[in-house]
Amino acid sequence: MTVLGVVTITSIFYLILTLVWVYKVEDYLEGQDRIRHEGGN
Amino acid sequence: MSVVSFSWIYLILFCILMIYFGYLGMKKTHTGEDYAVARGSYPWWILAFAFAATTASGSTFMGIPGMAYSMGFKAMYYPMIYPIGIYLGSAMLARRTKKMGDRLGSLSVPDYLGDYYKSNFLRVAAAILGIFLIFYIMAQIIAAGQMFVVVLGMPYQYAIWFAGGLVALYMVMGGSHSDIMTDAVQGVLMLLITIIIIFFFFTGFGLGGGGAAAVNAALPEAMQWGVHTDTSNATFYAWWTIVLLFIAHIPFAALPHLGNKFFALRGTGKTKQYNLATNVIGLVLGAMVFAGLLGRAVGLVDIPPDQVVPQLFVKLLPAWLAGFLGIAILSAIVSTTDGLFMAVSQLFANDLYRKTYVPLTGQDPNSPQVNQRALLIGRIGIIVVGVLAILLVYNPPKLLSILLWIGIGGIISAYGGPLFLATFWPKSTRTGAIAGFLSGFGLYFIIHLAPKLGLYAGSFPWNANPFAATGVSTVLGFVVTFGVSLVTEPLPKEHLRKLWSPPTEDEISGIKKDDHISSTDNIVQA
Repeated sequence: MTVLGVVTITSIFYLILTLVWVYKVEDYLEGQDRIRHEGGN
Repeated sequence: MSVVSFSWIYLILFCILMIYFGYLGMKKTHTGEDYAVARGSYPWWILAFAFAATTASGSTFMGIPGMAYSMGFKAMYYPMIYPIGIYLGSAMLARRTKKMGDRLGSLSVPDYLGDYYKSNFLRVAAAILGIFLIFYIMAQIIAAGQMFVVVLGMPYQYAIWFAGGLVALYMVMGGSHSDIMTDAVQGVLMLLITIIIIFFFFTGFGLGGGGAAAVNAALPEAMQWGVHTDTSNATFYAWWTIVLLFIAHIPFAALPHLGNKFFALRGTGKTKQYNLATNVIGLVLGAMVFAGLLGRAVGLVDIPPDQVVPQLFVKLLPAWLAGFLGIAILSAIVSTTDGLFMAVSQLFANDLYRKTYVPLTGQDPNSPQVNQRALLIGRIGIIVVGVLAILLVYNPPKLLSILLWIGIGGIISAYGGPLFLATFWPKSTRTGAIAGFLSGFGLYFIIHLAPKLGLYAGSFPWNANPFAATGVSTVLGFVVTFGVSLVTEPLPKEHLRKLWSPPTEDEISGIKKDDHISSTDNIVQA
């Protein structure tokens, strides 16, 4: 694969990862904080 | 009219616009907090442009295209890897750092570390290390001076006063408000120029069409897109140095001129849009690397690599459009410089004066008198930092690139572990953070800085590659913060409960912005 191909695919993959992070992982972590907080810890 | 004539016209309009934003910022600035962070004042899309513009410096428009001009396609790995590292780190930190920093009333990244870990030692040590960002400012002023020399034919000594004076003027007026508004506009200009470059590259502009394949075919064989590595280059010579290059950039948002942008965001609920937008803008700006490839392909030879972008525009574009480029490059430089001015002035005004010196004298750091004095120190600090940086680059020091990395690599190595663990692990402790801070910077000093300063030879690639040295030092700082935290006294439960509780509706929407823990609660001697 060419350098241009590697860079393009990696960048697209990274943007997908970002979507997963901001819409799934961060909400999950905040949910965990909420459970811990409401649990009184 | 010539390119130079158009450049002067655009420059004058640009200066008027920036000073106007300085005036707008001044009208919005009433307190030290307004001046330092403009807390909760801006929507996500303005801050997305501002953050991306601050991250992209003169290097994006001069150094990186120059690297591609010299190395060919393999140079693309650098402007791909470093934005991914920076924006991944930013995405990880933004939401939680904003929530906790707002609750603490922190006015800078060193202040946030000091507040979170309830440690004056961390605040002062981080602030002192942050002062070395003045070398970063010097590098940007040199770049601005060189740009004016090339594009406008202005003498270097006048150019540095002009560039530094412009930034200092609008920053003294409006502080963070001016910083963010001007950076957002500058970010839009930079993005427009980058989109033009992307269009040229993928259409083979200047080569009679044929797209990117025509660009590739016009390059010497060793520079073409089938060649991925360069064993003679300390940055790219092994796979693990590339991994460390990536790791070194993850805590980049910890740098004081970037991390303070999180606090200006209106509501933690908008960090999703903010993170996505900064990621896309940041990755697109990295495509300025195409200009270096296109410059080589269209036959620009025997020019200083850093000048490939201006020369390319002059060669390919009508004068009215080529002249616009100077403004885009200037935008890249001043959008970083103004944030640095702000960050360094706040190290004095807030971190060292208001939060450290004032409590030692028994005064209330939140009193109106102290706040007004901090505001004044911040404004005077910008003038002092600006004048000092300009005087220091009258004759650029030979060690500037080394001193520059005291600021960047040293800060990242020291701040990285404590900052990330504050964000994701409530069991991190004050002692752990101090140990991680010192060990991160210590390792960076031993393997990179001391050899660079000529104290001893050191070993390759650590002595030659600041990214690898920063990457491994950051990892050490993280591990030490974690390990020491396991066996030392935790932070007070009530302090953690206040910081780690989920965001309220007001915090999510950003409607209410002054409901933070009294800063006096967080000033404790380490």
